[in-house]
Amino acid sequence: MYVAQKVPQYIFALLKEKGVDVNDIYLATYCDMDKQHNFCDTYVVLTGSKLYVLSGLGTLEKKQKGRKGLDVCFVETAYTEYLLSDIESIQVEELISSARMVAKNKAGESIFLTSLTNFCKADAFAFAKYFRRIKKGEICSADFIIDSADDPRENCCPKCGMRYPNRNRKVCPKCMEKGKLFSRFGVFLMKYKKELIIMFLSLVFFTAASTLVPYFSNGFFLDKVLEPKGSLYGQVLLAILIIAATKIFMRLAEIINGYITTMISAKVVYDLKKTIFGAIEKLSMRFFTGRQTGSLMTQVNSDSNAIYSFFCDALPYFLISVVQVATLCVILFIMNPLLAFLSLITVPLFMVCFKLLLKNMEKLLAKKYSGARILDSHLSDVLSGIRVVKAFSKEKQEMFRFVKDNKNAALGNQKLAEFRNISFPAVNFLMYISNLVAFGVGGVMVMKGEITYGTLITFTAYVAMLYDPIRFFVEIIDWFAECSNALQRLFEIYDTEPEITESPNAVNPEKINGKVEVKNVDFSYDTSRKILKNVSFDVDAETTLGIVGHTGAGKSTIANLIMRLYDVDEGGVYIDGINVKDLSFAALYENIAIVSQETYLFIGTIFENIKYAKPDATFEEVINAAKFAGAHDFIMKLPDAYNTKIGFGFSDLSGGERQRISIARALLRDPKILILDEATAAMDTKTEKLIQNALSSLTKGKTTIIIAHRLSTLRDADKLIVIEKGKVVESGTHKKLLEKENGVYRKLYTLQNEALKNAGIID
Amino acid sequence: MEENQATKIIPLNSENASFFVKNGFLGMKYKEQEFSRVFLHRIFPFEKEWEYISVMGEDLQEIGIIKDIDCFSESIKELLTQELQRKYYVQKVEKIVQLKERYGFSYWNIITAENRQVNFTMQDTFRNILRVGEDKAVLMDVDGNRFVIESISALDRKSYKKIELYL
Repeated sequence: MYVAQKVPQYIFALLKEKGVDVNDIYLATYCDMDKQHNFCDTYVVLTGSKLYVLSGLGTLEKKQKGRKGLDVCFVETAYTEYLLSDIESIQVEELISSARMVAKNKAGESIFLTSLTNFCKADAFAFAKYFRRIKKGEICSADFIIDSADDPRENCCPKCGMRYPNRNRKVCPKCMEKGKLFSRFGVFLMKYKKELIIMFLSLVFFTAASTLVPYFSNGFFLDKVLEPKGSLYGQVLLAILIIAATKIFMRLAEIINGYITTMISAKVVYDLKKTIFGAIEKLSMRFFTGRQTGSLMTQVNSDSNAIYSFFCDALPYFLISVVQVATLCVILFIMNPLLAFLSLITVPLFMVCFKLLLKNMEKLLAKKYSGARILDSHLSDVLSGIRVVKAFSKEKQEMFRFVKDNKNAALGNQKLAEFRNISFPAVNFLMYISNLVAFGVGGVMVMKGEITYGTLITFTAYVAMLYDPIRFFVEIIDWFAECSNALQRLFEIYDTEPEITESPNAVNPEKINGKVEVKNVDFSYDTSRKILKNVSFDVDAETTLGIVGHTGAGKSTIANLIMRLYDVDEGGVYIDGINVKDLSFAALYENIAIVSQETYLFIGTIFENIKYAKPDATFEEVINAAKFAGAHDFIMKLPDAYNTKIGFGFSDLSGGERQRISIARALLRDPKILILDEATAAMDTKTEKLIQNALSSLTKGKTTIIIAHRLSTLRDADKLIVIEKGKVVESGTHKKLLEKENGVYRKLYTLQNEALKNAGIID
Repeated sequence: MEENQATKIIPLNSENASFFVKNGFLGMKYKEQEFSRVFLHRIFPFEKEWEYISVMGEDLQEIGIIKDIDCFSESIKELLTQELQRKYYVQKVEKIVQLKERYGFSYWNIITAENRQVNFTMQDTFRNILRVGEDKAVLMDVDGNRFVIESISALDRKSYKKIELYL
């Protein structure tokens, strides 16, 4: 039984009163609106025979006399029953910020069930999905097992009840503990145990030495060396040597500490980036379509840097500060408890004020970054589209936009600088007040002979040493928060489960013949729009299939599904009778190659780019593949031929040239199934013809699926299918489809031929 | 016909089209044809709420465009208005009670114009706030719900302080 989380028990009781067999409930979901789009509680419930829609308002009322607590009172406003046999399907139609649950009867008429906001949309989609399975006969009893992805208990935080923002990662950002993040990060640190021990020891030595320096430079020097009554009176050279030795010792410890910290941090961040990059590579295509690749790269880099700066800059200084403050406080209180108390009296106030300042500064910083980000994106936008700007003479307009954004960014900077320059010195003065008081009281004590002048100077030097660490304690709170945010974001990527995973019992056939079958496939990239609807076709091994259709009909999606870049929603894709979900990744990717309209060449030489598909390919094999793809001739016209580095100097390859390299790359692999997705779209007719000729000889012995706009290129295909609005509307050979009067293919072919004749491309 | 649809605007007005509601769905009669269900889409949703309305059939192919719903009779205008209001229903933010950012997500507690207290979560807050003109902002939460601040300048001081950072 599938029951959405928000269906309370009293609703089942109410339904029982209405004669509903609650033991026979298959599905139940909650919607937060009624048919009229008013907010209320609507429950859609399906039993083995009927569909019920109950609307009303659940309120809490005080219990009757003598009883404590609250009663739930449900005021019913609408109730409808439908026979399950009358309903064919249930759909969720998405509006802008809400949706409608609509049923379709046998006559194809729509029945309005209820409205809902997007808060309830995921449950409504799950309801529609299981309804479809029930109608198909895949679910025959009320106690069926639901997919874990739809289980409300699996998708909500057990602690606070909030739904996980990311269904693939069962982590509640609200309840997550920061400590766990750092302990997970600790695993990366623990690889460097020896270095960590040396780092810690150097810290201790540094702190000890830095605490001794003020004593040797002030109290010791003034009272013991310069004072005639001092035990080392006159031994200036010895004193200087002691001071110098302490300072050298301190600096040495600092250098060792700095060196090791930087080394460990750099290595840890390197390990972290490597781990995250490995995790990113394993993720499914849907992860990347859901976010901008640029922002992902920036995120990984900037987050790694935030972690680096925390561990490299903040943490060592923090550790030093803790030891230093503790040591200094003990020394100060031993030297003179009264003076120590007076010196530290304003510290709590200072810390509170400083924290408030940081909070305000955080806002100003965010404003500054926001301004800078807008300015940056505007700049990169204009510069990458400079051809368009110039072609439309829009320089002045762009200048105006730039000035506006620049002004905002400058204002952000200015406000931050003003705040920083005024507030921080004012708050720092708080610390100085206590120092002044200690200085005054200490002066009186010196005059009374209670303490020596050297002691006072040493004391004030120690107090001055406290300022920076104390200030840093406040600052590190934000540093820590930033680092934990960065860690969380990186672990979010790391923890995301790839949607496409290799089956544990994946089959790895010795030989693949190349028969492809697509059976009753439904697919959508997002819930709002179905791209493929019940698509079925097959391609015999070593034959050629052409896929024809308008832009956006779903042709490339079919290629993506055969490659298993995405998994189908319903139905299946089979290669040699094996579902692609059961094939090993190795078998799948070794036997299928795709050349798509979006060519991508990696940073490197042409040779490396072709060889990418088969790293052990010989020079001859690479040249042959390039010749077959019609790339060899233009490559040879380049000064560095096959060693031409892509993007080197001021020349770049044209779209057609890039396409030919990517065809060569696919051919080199010699796959059993070759998919050409608008592979020749960027080429002129002559080059296209050349490649077509080459491909026709090369596709022998291979199953070839060609997706093309230019229908003339598909004339020789063994079979053609025509896709329209996600459905296969026609199939057959070129000749057979042309014979079909009013056929979609015939219409497209005639239109295209006329257009080519008008353009003078064909006679 | 198909070619015309793709290249020319087919105007829908009181002379060639009339609308009706059947089983809770909007339908249309256009010339001699009857469409049991049609869908309305604003072409310029942020600029022209009641003008330039695209009317599509169940196959989501555009049948024509209403230049201004004022050209229809009051009763039809009411049907169109109701359908558009439902389709473009977005909760209006009256007050921001609480706004907390944590690990890349922001947690909002708002009071809407209907005096409902609503909690929602936004991911990557900066990217999911759309500024419309100088004074309006549209927020989109993780579920795809939209919330609109009709006038940022009309927000109370406390609410403004909370959202200021993201504007």
